[in-house]
Amino acid sequence: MVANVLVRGSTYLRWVYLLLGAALVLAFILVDSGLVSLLDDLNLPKVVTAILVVLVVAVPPLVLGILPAVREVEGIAVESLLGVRFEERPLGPSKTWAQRRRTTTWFCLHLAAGGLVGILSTAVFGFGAVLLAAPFRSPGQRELVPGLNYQVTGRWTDIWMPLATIMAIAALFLLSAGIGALLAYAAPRLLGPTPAERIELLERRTATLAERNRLARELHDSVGHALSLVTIQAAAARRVLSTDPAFAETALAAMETSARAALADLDHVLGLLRDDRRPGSQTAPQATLSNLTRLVEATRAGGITVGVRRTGDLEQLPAAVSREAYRIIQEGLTNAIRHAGRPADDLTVDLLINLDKSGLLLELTNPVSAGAADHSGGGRGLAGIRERVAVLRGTVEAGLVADRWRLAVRLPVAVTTKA
Amino acid sequence: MTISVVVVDDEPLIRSGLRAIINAEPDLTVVGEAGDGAEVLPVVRRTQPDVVLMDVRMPAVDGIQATRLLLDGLDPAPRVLVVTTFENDDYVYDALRAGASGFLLKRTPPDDIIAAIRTVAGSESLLFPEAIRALALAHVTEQPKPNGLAEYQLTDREQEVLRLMARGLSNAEIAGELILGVQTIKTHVANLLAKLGARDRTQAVIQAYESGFVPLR
Repeated sequence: MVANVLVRGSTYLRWVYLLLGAALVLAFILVDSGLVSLLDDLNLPKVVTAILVVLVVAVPPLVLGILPAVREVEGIAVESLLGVRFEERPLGPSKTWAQRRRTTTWFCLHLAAGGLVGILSTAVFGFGAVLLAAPFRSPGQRELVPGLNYQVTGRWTDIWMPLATIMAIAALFLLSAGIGALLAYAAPRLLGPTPAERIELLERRTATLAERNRLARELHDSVGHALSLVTIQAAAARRVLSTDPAFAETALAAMETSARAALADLDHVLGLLRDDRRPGSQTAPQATLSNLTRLVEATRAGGITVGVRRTGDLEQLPAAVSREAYRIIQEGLTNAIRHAGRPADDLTVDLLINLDKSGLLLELTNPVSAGAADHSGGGRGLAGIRERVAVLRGTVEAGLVADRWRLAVRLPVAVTTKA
Repeated sequence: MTISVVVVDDEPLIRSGLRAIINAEPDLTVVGEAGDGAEVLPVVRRTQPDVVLMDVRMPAVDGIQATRLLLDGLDPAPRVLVVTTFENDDYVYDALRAGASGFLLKRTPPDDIIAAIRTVAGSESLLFPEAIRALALAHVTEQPKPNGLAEYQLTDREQEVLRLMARGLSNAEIAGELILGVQTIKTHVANLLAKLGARDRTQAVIQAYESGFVPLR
C-alpha cells in the first residue's frame, strides 16, 4: 500500500499544491519579519508588541482570502493539483460573504498545511543530500546542524545514512499524500457550493436546459415547416412547369426565400445548442417580431398607450432571435402593466427596437409608482427574461432611470446583408 | 367523376403548392381554401367537397378541433385527410380518433398525395395500413379488452372482413381472399361499420386495434 501511494502521480501533484502554499508562507514570512523588526525598534510595551505581531502575521492572509479572485485561483489549483471535481465548474470568484469566509478558511488551511510540508521538505532534501554524500567522506566527527553531530566510520554500518534519507523522503511523500487527501476531502465543503448554492445552481442549470430544449424543439418545427414548404412548392412547380411557367417562377422564389430563412435559423440556433432533443408537440406556431403589431394592438386595446419606434430591417433577424425578442417584449409589457400601480389608461410605455451591426436592442420604459418600485427588481417576469437572454448570450439591464423603469436587452445577431 | 378538394393550411405557400399539384390532375379539383380551422366549416358548407386536406398545426383552431367540428356539424361530411410535417406528431393519432380518414406527410411525393386523395375519396381501402398500425401501437396504452368487439355482435364473416380491412385490403381484394362477390363484401363492410358506429374503414380499424380484436403485437 505504501508503495502504491509512492508510485501514484497524484501524490506528487498534491505535494506540489502544498509547496505552493509553502511559497506563499515564505513570502508572508519575508514581509512579516521586516515589519516585526520595525515593531521591535519602536520599544512598545511587550503586550502591545505581541498583539501587533499577531495582527501583522494574521491580517495579510485573511485579507487575501477575502479577495473574490482567490476562490477562482484556488479552484483551478485544487482541480488540477488535488484532483477535486467541483459541482460548479469552473469555480467562480466569491460572490457572497459566506463564500469569502469559507474561502479564507480554506486559504489559511492551505497556508498552514503548505508551511508544514514546506519546512519538512526543506529539511528532508537539505539534510538528505548531506547524509547521502556522507559515506563517501573521510571518517570522523561531522556536524549536521550546530549541536547535532554524526560519526562517519568508513565501515559498512555507514549505510544507515543513505537508508535514513530514503526513508525520510518516503515518509515525506506519504505525509504529503495524507495531508493532500484530507485537503481534497475538505475542498468541496469549503470552496464548493453550499447546499443552498447547490440548489440554486441546479435550478439555474435546469432552467437553462429547459430553455435549450425549447429552442431545439422550435428549430425542429421551423426547419421542418420550411422544408415541407420547399418540397410541396418544388413538386407543384415541376407539375405545372410547361402549363403555368409563371406559377413555377413564383414557386422557385418562394423556395429560395424559405430555404434561406431556414438556413439562417439553423445556423443561429445550432451555434447556441450542443445537445439535441426529440421534438415536442405544440399546435400553434410560435410568434415572432412580425406579429409585434398584433401584440401592441392587443396591449393598446387594454387602454395603454404604447409608443413604438423601430429601426433596422427586422425581417433579416434569424427566426430564433425574432421569437425570443417577441417573448421578451411580451413579458416586458406584462411587467410594465403589473408594476405600474396606477389605472391602465394612465400608462405610457415606450418601446424601442433597433437592429444594426452591433446587434438587436430592445428597450422598454414605463412609469412606476413609488410603491411598486421596491419590488420591481426581481419579479418572475424579469427572471424569465434573464434566462432567455442568457441562452442567446445577450445582456439585460433593468432599473430606475429618473422616475421611469427601464428594461434594455441586447442580443448579439450576425446580420447578413440581403443578396 | 371529379373529386372536389378543400385545402386547409395556415401557410399560403403550402396551400398554393397543394392546389397546383391537385389541379394538375384531370379528375381532381380544388374548390376552396381555408387559412385556419375556424374558417373551415363555412368554406365546406359552401363548396361541398369530397375531401378536406387538413393541416394539424394552426394558430387559432387546430386541425383536430376543425376535424371534429366538420364531422359533428355536417351530414354528409367530407372525408378528412390530415396533413402533417412530422411523422411522430402526437396529434395525428388524435386526429384519426376525431374521425379523420387518414393522414399524409407534407413531404409525401405528389403522386402519392394524389393517390391518397383518390383512396380516401373512394373509401374502397384503408390508407397506409402499416402507418396506422404503428400509430396505434405507439398510442394505445389501455389493456385490450378480453372479449374484443364481442359487444357489437359481429358475424363471423364480418369479423373476417374487418381483419382483412385492417391489413389494408380493398373490397375487391377481400372478395378474392374470401372467394365471395365484391357486392357481398360491400354489404358486409356497410353492416360492420353500422354495427361499430364507425364513420369509415379507418375508424373501424382503430376500434379493432384499441379493443384488442386485432392484436397490435
